[in-house]
Amino acid sequence: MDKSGQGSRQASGDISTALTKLAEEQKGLGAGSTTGGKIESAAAQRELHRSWKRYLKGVSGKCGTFQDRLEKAGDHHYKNDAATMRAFNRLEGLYKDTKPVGGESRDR
Amino acid sequence: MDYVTLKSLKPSEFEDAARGYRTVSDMASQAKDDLEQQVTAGMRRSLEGDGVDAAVEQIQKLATNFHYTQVECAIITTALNSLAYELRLAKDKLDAAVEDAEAEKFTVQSDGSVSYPASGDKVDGKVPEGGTVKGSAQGKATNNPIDPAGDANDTAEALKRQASNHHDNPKYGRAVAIADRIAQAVYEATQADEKWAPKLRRLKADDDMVVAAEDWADAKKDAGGVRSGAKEYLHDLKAPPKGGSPKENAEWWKGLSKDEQDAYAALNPSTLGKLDGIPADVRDEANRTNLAEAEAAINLKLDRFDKERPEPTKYEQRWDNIRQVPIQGEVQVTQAWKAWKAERDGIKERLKGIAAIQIRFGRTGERGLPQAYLMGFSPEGRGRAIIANGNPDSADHIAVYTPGTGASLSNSNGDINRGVNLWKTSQSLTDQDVSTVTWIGYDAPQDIFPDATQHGYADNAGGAYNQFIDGLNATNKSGSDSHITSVAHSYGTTTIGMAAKEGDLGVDDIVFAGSPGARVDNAADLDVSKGHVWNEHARGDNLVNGTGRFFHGGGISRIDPTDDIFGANQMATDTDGHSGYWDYDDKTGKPSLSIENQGRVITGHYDEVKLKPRSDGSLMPSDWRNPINWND
Repeated sequence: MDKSGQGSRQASGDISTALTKLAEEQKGLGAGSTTGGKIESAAAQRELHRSWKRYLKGVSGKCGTFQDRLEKAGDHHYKNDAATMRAFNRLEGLYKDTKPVGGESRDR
Repeated sequence: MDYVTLKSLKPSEFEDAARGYRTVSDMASQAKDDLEQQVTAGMRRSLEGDGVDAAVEQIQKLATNFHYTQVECAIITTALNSLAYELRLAKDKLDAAVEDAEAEKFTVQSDGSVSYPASGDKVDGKVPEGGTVKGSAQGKATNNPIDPAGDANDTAEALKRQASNHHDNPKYGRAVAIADRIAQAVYEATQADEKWAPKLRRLKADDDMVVAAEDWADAKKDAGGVRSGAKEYLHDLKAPPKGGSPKENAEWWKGLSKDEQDAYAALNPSTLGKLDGIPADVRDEANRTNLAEAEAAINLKLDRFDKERPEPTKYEQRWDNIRQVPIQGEVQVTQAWKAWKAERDGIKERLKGIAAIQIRFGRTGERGLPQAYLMGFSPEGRGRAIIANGNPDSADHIAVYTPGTGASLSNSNGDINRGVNLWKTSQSLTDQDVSTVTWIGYDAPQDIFPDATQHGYADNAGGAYNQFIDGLNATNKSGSDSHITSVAHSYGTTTIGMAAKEGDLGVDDIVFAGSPGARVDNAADLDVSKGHVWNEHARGDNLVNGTGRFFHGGGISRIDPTDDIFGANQMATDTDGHSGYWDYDDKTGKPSLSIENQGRVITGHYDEVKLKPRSDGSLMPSDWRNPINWND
């Protein structure tokens, strides 16, 4: 169980590191910078960065929740097999696809 | 975008941003692998029953978040690098023009216009005045109706040329030229900026945490959009040699820089995934993307089908066709429903093979089962699946298993499992690294009769098989010194025979199981050294030594590999029938003798292979290598 818990904890940590690196590398394209100022692509890039920052934070959160369940399962926190199963299946409900229609209509 | 902006713009800042996304993509790739290999394996050890399945399902979803991140961020990296490349071209042009202006002692104004001083021979007692000119870019329609018959630009150009020829100030002409270059540079930078801004916006992350089919469809479109936009950046990125040999493909790949490899992989996963000579891990990543996108496309197709074709009425009153009257109290299935079901099943069919591959991904870690490398995948036609257990490039011993009749992507579960069993068996016999590959790389005949009596299938497959083997030899750490064994079943053996006949089959050992005939009349024609052809014919396998030899046997007398005269080593078996050759007891971890003998060949333990007595009753000594007919 330790190994599997470790795996998702590691993934969370790695996301943090990557996000920091991503942010660092964006510095030159910030709104106030010389390059960032009047360039349409730089503005687009800032929106892009914001979206991926949000997404990765969401994935990190998902890792955390999963890891939490794994650890509980490992500690025999759930009364039985069926309870374990329910615990993991509930993750399904937490992360629902919000799109009512296809990706094309998504606000991009 | 204007003169001042371009002047101070640093293209490297876009490249820095690109690097940031590359870091994210690599992180996501690593996380996806870790989840598949360590976490799933760890969970299987500690959880039980339904709990495992529920947990595994959630892990796979989490892994998909990472996979989606990996794919999209790799595309973003390429987009930003391409933008940087184009901006740099424009900026270099601008810098050169400004330098020339300074050399001429002209002043470039903040709007990009160029001021030139008074100069030249006196006219009417005065030195011609200086002035300021604004340049214009070519290719940019001005939409000004100076001359309704033509573009205003052309007219402006003509006027300028006329003017500079007659202008008294010799510096005028040169100032105009520089101003034009400045305008051109700014124009090109603007074009690049306006092209890439919307493309970048389309690469924004999904707004929810579920990677749906639409998200993969979008990712595929994104790759296409960036590919078309990045033509300039990728222009120097030569495509793989057309019709190149695996060796040439390998050289091509090695000749690319890391950035170029990443760009190619991000934008052309379907080409890269099937290129023999490309490293296994690269093909694997490309094909995992292809797999995700294909699965998504099929699911979207199914959704569309369900929306447009709701299930028709299934039952109707039974009809007596002879008396042309309805039969009371009985029902029959409607034609409409049968047609609907057939069409729907046809779409769903393709998902079966994809599921089989994903099941294999989920089995990594089970009793030490190494990572799977998806070296080939295509949902087209009968489908292709080439899946390795363990990395063949770093392995000491490689076995390539080719199934026979009925092989297809949809039916791949059993054949993938045979590859797994071969790995378990072989790896337990050696300390060296073993990789086994299930090769569903050709359109196998789907039925024994009449399909499997045709040659056509094997003919096409032979060439593909040779290429694949050449690819393994090109990418393995030991090159062509690596030890490769072909293991083939049934009609797959005929394919191997064709491969040997058509080209130079680059393997070291050949194992046949249940062969109906291999198109050659002697083992010596199979391109391996003496004594390196091994055959299994199990008790009760009636497909062998039967009519098959008349269609696939070698030579005039239609010899097949079970005949002594063929010259193969006849290995002992303890399984029954045509399909038992890879039996392996998962509960006890014990291989059948049939599969264990194969494992001994695969790992090079030739002396330990248990052989069958010959038809004259004599037991072949294990070092006997000379059949009667072996051509020396």
